[in-house]
Amino acid sequence: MNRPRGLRLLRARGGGTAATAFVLALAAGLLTLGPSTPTASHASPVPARPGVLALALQAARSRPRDPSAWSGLGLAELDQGRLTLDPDWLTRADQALHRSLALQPTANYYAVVGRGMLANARHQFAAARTFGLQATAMAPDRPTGYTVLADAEIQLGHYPQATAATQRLLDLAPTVPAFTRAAYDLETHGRPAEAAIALQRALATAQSPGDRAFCQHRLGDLAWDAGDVTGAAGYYRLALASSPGDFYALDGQARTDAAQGRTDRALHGYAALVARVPLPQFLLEFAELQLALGHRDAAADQLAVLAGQVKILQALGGPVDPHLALYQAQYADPGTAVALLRGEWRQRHSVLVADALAWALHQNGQDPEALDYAHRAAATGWRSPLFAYHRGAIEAALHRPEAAADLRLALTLNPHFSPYDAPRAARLLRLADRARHE
Amino acid sequence: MHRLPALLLTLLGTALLVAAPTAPAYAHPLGNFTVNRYDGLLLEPNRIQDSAVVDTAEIPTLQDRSLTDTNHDGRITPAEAAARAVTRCAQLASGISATVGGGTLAWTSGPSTLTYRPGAAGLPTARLTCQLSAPADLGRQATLSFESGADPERVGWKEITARADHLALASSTVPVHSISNDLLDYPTDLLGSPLDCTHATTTSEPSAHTDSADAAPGTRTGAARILTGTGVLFPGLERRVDALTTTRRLALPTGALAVALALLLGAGHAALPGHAKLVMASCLAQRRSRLRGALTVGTTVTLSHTAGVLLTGLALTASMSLAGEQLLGWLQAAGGLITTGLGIALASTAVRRLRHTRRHAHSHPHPHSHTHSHSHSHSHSHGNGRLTLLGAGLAGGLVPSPSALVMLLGAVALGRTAFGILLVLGYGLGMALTLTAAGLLLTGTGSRLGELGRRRLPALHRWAPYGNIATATAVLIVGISLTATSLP
Repeated sequence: MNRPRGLRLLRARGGGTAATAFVLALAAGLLTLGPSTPTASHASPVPARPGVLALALQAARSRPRDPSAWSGLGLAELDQGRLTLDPDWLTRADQALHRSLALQPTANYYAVVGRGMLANARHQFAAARTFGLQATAMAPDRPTGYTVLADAEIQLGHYPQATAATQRLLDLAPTVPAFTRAAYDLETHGRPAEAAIALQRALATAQSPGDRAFCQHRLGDLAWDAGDVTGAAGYYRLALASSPGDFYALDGQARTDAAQGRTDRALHGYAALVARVPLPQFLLEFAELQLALGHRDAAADQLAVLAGQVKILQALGGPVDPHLALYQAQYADPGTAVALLRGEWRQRHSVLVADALAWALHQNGQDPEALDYAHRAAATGWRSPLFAYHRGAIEAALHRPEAAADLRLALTLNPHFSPYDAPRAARLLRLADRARHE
Repeated sequence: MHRLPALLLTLLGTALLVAAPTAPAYAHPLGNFTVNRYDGLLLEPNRIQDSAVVDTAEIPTLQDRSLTDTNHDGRITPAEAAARAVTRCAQLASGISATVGGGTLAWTSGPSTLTYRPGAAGLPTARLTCQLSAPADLGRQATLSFESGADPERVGWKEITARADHLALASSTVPVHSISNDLLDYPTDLLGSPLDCTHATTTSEPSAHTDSADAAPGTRTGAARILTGTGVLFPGLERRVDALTTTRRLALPTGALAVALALLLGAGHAALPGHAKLVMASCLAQRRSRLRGALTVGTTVTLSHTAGVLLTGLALTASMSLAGEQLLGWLQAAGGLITTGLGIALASTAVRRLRHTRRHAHSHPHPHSHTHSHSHSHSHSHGNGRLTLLGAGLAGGLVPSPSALVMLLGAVALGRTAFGILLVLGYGLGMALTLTAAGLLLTGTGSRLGELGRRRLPALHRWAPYGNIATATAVLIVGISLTATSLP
C-alpha cells in the first residue's frame, strides 16, 4: 500500500460526491426544462390506456419473430371485426394468424383457435369445425377451442355434437362465452325459458359493456320471439345504455317501435342503422316495414341495395346469408334463391338454411319439396314465429289440415312478428279455418 | 318484415359479416360496406383549405343511387353526378366543426366532382372530391381544432393531414402526408392499423421561411420512436412499467411498484451478454480486493448510467434539433474509446504480471504460492487499479440503455419528470446490483477453480497469466468494435 488508507477513502468519497452532484445537477436541469405537472391526456401522443388492439400491435411490432405476438394480434383484430362489422379486420387477422403459424407451425394453439374463429366469422363453418377439432385435440382442457367447435357444429346442423361441445365448454369455464352459447343451444332446441336463465347468468358475469349489451339484446330477442314486445323494448333499451352503438339493439329498438305504433321513430331508427351497417337482415326489415306502410318507392331503395348484394354474392361466391336468400325468394327471383340455398344446404344442414330453402321452394311453386324442408327446419323444435308461419303457409298451399295449427302458433308466439307477414298469416289462418269448417 | 332467429350469436370472435372478403382484385380494397373519408388541410395566413375526398364502396354507392339518379331512369348522367356532388359537398362542409382560437370557422364549398369506377360484380364505386375553404386569421400563433364529422360508427378509413404554407406548424396531431395517397392506394402494412382519425389539432405560427411544414413537429416523440426501433429486450416488463407510468393518477404503491420493476429491468439488462460484465470480471480478476472492487464498479455504473441517461434526456428535451440516434452514437463512441483504453491498460498490466510471475513461479513451486503472488500482484497493479475500475464502470454505464431512456422520455412527456428520474435511478441501481453480484461470483469461482486447478493440475497454473492477456485482448477488441460501429 503506497498511500495512507484514510487519504484514499477521502479521495474516493470526494470523487463520489462530485459524481453525485453531477447527477443531481442533471436531474435539476431536467426538472426545470420538463413539464412539472402531469399534462392533459390529449397532449400525449400515446393514449393513456391503450386498448387491447393497440397493445397487441405494439407487441407484434417489438417482437416480430414471436408467434404468440402475432396470434395475439390476430385475435384482437378478430374482436375488432366483431365489434365494427368491418371485414377489413378479418383480412388483417388472417394475415397475422398466418404469420404466427409460419413462425410456429405446430402446437400453436391460439393461432389454430384464431383461424377457427376467423372461419366462423366468414361463415366457413366446415373449415371452422376442422380447426375446432384440431384445437380441442391439441388441448382437451382449454375452453377456447370449444367455443370455435360449438359455433361451427351448431351452424353446420350437427346439433348433438354442438350440445356436447357447449356442455364441455360450460364444464371447463362457466363464463360469458359458455353461457351465451348454452343459451343459443337451448333456444335452438325450443327451450327459451332456460335460454333466458343462461343469458341472465352470462349477464351477471359479463365485464365489458359490449358483452353486457350482447346479453341484453339477446334477452330482448328471446322476449320478442315470445311476444313480449314491452319486455323486448326494455332489454334493447338496456343494451343501448350499456353500449350505445350496439347494432342489433338498434335494430331491435326500431322493430319494437314499429310494433308499438311509433312508426316515425322506427323509420328513423332503421334509416340510421342501414346507413351505418347495411346488413341484409336490417335492410329487409326496413323494406318490409316501408312496404307494410305502403311506402313502395322508399322500400325500393332498400330492395335495390339487397339486389346489389345478391349480385356481389353471385359474382364472388361464398356463404349464403339466409336473410339475403329470403329477400331473393320473396322480392326478386325465387329460382335463383332456390339455387343459392341448395348450394348452402350442401355445405351445412342448419335449420336456418332449411327454413329459408323451404320458403324459396314455396315461392317457386315447389310446395311438396318445400314442406319436406319445412319439417327439417322444425326438427330441433325452435319456437320461432317465422318458422311456424313459413311452415303453415306451405301446409295451407298443400291444403294440409295442420296449416291452421301452425299459423295459429306463429301468431300466438308473437302477433307482431312482422308488420308485413303477420297480416298475411292472419288472413291465411282465417282461410284455413273456413276450409276446415266447410 | 321477416326476422330470423338471430343467426350467429357469439361473443368471442365471430361476427355477422355478409360478404366475406375473399379479396378479389376488382372488389373495393377495404370491403364493400366502407365509406372512406380523407381531409387534407392546408393552413395559409388568411384561410384554411380542405381538400376532402369520400371514397364509397359498392354498397354505400348503391344506397346513394336513388338520391343521385334524380329522374329515376336507371342512369346517372354527368349533370346528375355534378348536382349530387354539390349537395354532398355542402353536407360535408356543414358536418365539419372547426375552431381557430375559439372562433368557429365557416366553410364554403368550391369545385366538386363525383366520379364512378366499376367495382365487384360490375357494381360502381364512387369518389367524391370537395374543395372547401374557410377564412381564418393565422397571422399570429393560433390553434386549429378540426373535427371532420365523419360518422365514427360507419365502417371505413378516416384520415386527416395538415400542412402549412407561409406558416410554421409548431405542433400537429396529424401527419403532413397522406399514407393512403388521398384514398387512392390503401396501405396493406400488417402493422399499421386502419386509420380512424376524425380529429386534428394544430398550432401554427407566422414563419419567415416558406412552407416549413415538412419539418415534422414533436422532436420528443421522434426521439422516442428512434429509440424504440433499437431492440427492446424485456417487452413484457417494459410494457408493465409503461402502463404504470401512464396511469392517470400516480399513487404511492403504483409508483413504488414501477420503481421496483425498473430495478428489475435494469438488473435484467445488465445480465444480458455485453461488454460491461467482461470488462468488470477481468478487472476484478486482476485486482484481488474483491468486495471493494466490485462495489466501486457497481457505484460507478449506477452513477455513470444515471448521468448518461439524464444527460441524453436533458439534451433531447432542451434541444429540438438533436436526434436521439446521433447522441446515442456519440455516447457509444465515448464508451468504446474508454473500453479500448481499458483494454490497453489491462494488456500492459497482464504482460507485466506475466514477466513477474514467471520469475517467481520457478523459485517457489510450493502449494502456497498463490498467497505470495497475490501480495505481489496487488502492490504492482495498484497504481492504475482504481483508474481501471472507474473506467470499467464508466464504459459500462455511459451508453444509456434504450429502455431506460424511453422510460425517462415517456415520463417527461407525461409531465412526470421527477418520477422518470426516480425510475432511471432504480434502473441504474438494478444494473449495479447484477454487475456487482456477477463480478463477485466470477472472481469467487475463478479463485476457487484456480485453487482446484493448482492442486490437481499444477501445469494449469502456468497458463493462468495467459488467460489474463486473452481477456485483455478481448476487451481491446470489444472497445475497438464499439468505437467502429458508433461511427456513421
